[in-house]
Amino acid sequence: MSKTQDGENASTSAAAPTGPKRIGFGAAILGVVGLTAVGWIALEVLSSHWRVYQQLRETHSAWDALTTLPGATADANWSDTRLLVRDVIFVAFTIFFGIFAWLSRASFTRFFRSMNVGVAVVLLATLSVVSGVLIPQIGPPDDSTVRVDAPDAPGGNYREQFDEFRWAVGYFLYHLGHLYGVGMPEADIPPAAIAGLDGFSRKYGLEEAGNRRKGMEAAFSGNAKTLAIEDFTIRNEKRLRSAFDLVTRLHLNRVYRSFWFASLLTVLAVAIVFNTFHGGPKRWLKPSKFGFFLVHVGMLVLLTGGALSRTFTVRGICNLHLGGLDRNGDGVYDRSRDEMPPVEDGFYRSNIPDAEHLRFMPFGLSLEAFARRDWPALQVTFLDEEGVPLAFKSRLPTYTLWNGREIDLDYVDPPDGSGGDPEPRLRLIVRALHERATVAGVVTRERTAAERGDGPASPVAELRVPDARRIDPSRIGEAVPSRQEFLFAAAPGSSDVDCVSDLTAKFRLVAVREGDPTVRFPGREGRLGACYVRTLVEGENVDERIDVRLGEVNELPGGYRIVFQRATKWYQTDPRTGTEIEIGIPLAQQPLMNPAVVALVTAPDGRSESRVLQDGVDPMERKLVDSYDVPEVLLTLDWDDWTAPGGARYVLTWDANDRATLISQDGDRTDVALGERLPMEGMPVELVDVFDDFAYEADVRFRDPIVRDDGWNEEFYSRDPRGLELEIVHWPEDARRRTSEIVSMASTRAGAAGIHIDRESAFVLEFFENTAGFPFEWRSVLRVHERDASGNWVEKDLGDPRSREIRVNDYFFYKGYRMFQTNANETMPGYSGIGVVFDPGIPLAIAGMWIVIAGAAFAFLVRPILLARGRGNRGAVPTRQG
Amino acid sequence: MQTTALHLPQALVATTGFLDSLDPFGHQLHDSGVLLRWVNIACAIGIPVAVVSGLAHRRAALTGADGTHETVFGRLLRLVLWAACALSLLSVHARWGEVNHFPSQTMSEVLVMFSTALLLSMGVLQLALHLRKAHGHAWATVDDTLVAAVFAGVWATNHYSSSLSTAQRDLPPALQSYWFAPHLSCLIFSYATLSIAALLATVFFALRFWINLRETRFGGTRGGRAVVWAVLAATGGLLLSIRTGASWVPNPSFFWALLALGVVASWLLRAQPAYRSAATLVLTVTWMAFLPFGQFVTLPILMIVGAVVSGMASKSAIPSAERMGALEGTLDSVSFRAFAVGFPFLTAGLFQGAFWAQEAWANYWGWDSKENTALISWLVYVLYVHLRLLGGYRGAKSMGVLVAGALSIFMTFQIFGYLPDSQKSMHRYTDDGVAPREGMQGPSPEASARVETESTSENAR
Repeated sequence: MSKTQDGENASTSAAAPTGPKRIGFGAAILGVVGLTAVGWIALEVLSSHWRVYQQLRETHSAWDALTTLPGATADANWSDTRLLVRDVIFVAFTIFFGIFAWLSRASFTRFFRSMNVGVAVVLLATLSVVSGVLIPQIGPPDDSTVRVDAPDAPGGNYREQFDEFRWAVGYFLYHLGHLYGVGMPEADIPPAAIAGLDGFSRKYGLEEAGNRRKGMEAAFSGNAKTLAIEDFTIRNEKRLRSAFDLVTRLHLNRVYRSFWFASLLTVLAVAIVFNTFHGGPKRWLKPSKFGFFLVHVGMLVLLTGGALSRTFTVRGICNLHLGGLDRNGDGVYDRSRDEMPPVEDGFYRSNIPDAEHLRFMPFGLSLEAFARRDWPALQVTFLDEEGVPLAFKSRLPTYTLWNGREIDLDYVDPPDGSGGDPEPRLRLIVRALHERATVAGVVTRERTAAERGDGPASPVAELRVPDARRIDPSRIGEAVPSRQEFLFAAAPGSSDVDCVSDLTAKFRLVAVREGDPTVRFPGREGRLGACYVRTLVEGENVDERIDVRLGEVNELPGGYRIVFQRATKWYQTDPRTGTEIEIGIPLAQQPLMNPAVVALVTAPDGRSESRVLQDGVDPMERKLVDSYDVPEVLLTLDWDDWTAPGGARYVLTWDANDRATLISQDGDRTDVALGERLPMEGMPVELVDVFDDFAYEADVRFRDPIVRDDGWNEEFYSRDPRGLELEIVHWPEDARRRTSEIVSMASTRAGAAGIHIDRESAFVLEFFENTAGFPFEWRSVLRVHERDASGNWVEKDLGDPRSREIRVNDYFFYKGYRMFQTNANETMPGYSGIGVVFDPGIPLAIAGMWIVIAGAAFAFLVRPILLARGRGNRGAVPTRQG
Repeated sequence: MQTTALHLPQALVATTGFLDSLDPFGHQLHDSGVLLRWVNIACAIGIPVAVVSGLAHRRAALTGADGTHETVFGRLLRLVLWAACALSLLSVHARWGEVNHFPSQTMSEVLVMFSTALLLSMGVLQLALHLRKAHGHAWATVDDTLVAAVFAGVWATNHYSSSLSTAQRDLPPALQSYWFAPHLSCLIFSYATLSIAALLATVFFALRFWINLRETRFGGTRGGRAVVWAVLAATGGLLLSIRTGASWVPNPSFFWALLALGVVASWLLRAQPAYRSAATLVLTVTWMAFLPFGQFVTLPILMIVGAVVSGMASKSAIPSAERMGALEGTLDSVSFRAFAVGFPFLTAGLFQGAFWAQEAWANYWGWDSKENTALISWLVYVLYVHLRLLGGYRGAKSMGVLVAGALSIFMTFQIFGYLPDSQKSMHRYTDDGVAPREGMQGPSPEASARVETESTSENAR
């Protein structure tokens, strides 16, 4: 693009023709398209040879690969005569084209330096990018080999890719056809939900309630919209399918990896070269030109880097495990190893689980440390007069904590009856967060009458039971670690019971303080708990609670039907495949770990779905609804281990003199002294103490921070719970009534240190590390191994762990490879997925971008100031009005 | 189909909602929300001040008064502008404290950043364009008009953003980078500046539309103009009804039919000079109403400019063709200057995203659809520079490209989530209830919407 008239003179003179024969815009477009087509063919031809060269490079040095290339090409490509003919024609064409270009170099120069050609090439590049935005691209975007298979290819990806295309395009077209939301299904929030919101806003504040309401609107209209879009895509499936086939044939769903796009960018680069470097340094460095010159140089550097990246980049995931010795021998990978590493432990090109795509790094990696640190969070539950939480758990807001955060809660109308704004009764202020805390123990006692006030008593039996999470199967014979367990006595008249179940399913135990203990034994076996059912019938939600019994048919409103088919007390899935691992023993003998039932849900229109319901999992909260075939029916399981099939049932009861009695279901009564083991078969349970009205405090101690001069944050890898000093202010806005206390908590269940109960103000605080969403951060410390002269693996000394630590946003660089934190799995705590990238284009591309930024800043911000100074006239806007 | 009357209460409620955005007391809002309402108040004060100041300058310009003297209203206006800017920055600061990170994660946060950037870049542009000091009263009028438009835009944006969820969200690991703040600030500042450049162009197109209209046979008559006004009013009423949730609005394809009609009419009639203006008219009206932000920006501008032109006509002060030509040239230069301030920031913001991606994923350019839409905006402005500086595009032609650039920014910023390729984008942070992907296969975060009714709370009993 010739710069005959930019900058200051451009603003005063109109357009001037650039040459004797101006190249028209149409001709420019045609010329650019033609050159791009030539480049496309050239790249297609060259790539077949490039593939052969790359294969040679796996085993040869660069020079050897080059010298053996012709022979290898003859073997690989030219055995097909058509390919040989193609290559011969291509070479001939290249020679003729080169001669032609040289002879008519003046025309070429004029072509590329024409304004219209510059505009045409930028315009075509823009349109190409636009097409890639409007047509869903198949992924992964950095894999040049990925294609859409033929529709009938066995095991192909056609259906999967088409489904993605159908949804994405349908989503777009649906919104285009419903501009401003006209004609979209409306959000009907059930009145019951809105009613609940009112009470919610009293407790948690208007802003929180408002956000909750907005969330509900989004969710309800979102569900309805999703169905409408599905319907739209199904009605238009045929048309969408032919569109998909067309864009696949034209490579329009892999625009950025296509050769025509690379060719177009090459033409762009050539155009920039023609327009940037003429005129010599004197012209380049003129203040009026320098910025523009810099931008174009930067673009060239950037495009060069991009070309390098596109040609040489290899990208994959290296799956590492702490103590990788168990899984992979030595935990490092090398092509000369005899055995193939397990599939998930290789380093793949493009993540394709195929041995041909394996690529090995010139060094080995292993994992020295890995940790996930979650956000410290607080949940506040308000209790009604009977000490029962006011809302379902999934409705409670979760507050992420940081030093100084203040949370106002529990609003009441001002006492003077003025009708002013409600004032908070409670303010929580985070005084300090500690990275590490320990719980030295729990102090238990009877509550005083003053503490209890008018509230109900809570009788509790304190037990000592084996701690399943701390039992190490490799240390059989040693003392079994145990923990305190507080068994709350069942409230009279309530069907809700707190139950301790044996790890080997030999017994179950509940406590009763008041009333006849034997009424607690269920009359009939087989109720597995309750199931909360919400059915959407004609736009209205119908809620009900049904008993879970295997095999019984439950008719729901609207013609829906549920049958509970199967149950397990230990539902677990394979973390890699997601399929269930069945435990293989009868339900009554299964240990209570993660209960679940399988429900067959049938819709009146014949759709049916087999759904796994895990205990206490709220399908809305976990976003499971998206995967349901019958999304109008929502189910939440509340497992009741006391009434389900299982071990022998026992009731523990005691009198006012703390004399405890254990009653079995057969009616046997055994007196138990405090400090004795309860006479039940199964794991040992010691009765420590009984309380008629239980109070306890955890003894929380904060540990000193580990400070190191080099900034290495060892605390991140600590497994200790976090500590919290929280100030609880009652009546924060009323100076006369204001009281405040500071509580210390730790994010652990041990000793209930993470729970604070305030019975007087009827709320419960729960301090925990929030594992529900994204963590605060993942970090890994890597070790690099190389083979020494005798072929043994030795660890390279690369300095302290800090320099080998990787996190998201901070990678580790070694021998041209960049290793960054990319994957983790909640169910595999010792696993860290390391993204590995070999990309020689990065430095050039980044440098190019910096140059473009500098050039643009100079051209548009600095240059006008310089020029204005030069003219001695700051007002650079020409004034034209009379 | 129901009658309009039934929906009048709804419209009234919506209007009260708008007035609500001026009430800084009570409502248990967080500090940032309260400050935002003070910003709205400043805007509400600023609009009449700008109008009065603009009218004063216009009168002075018409009487031929010379000089660059500031009026009291001009000083007051600048004071209000900077006060609104400071309040808006304070709101961002308060929000920072309330969420414990740079507040640009949710759409409501990003929109507040945008309205702040609008005020800030208007302040910066006042300095950069030298409209007040160097160019006398006529240009001070343009400046005042721009400031009034910016005030209206900020108020509308704040009103809209407070209808979105203001819930605090933790930053996922990939967003915890020092690039987060500069990347977002540069881009949003450039969006604001380039929007103002496009606003200038829009004002010009609106003016040209009304003046051309009077020269057509149809628009030359009182009745013809009444029809145009009726169409505008109807479109405005329609948009307002939709905004307030009316269900009587016509077929969803209405907008498309209108736009297609305009395109076809202008194409078919382009060769016949008598009808060309009429065709342009249909196209302009439909396009301005059709724009996604038509109800807030283009339609009001069109109506205000129309009213001004009517006023001019009643005093027989319709600008001559030469004056329109001169105006076109100067508005073009001024909008170029606004562009020149915004473009380096757009460039820096775009490439800072690449530097960040390089550190997070060792992939400086992943052809993610958000990256691509941002690149498209950048390329449109690259085309603008080349066309204007080399291709000799001046006046309406080059201002048209600026409007196209603003449209593509709007795509990137607001309707990106609907584009086909954005479904698996890693940049869908701001959408409510969408789990960011950010290259992690870790567990997905909790849904932002937890929907349970009170009855399910029996579970706990």
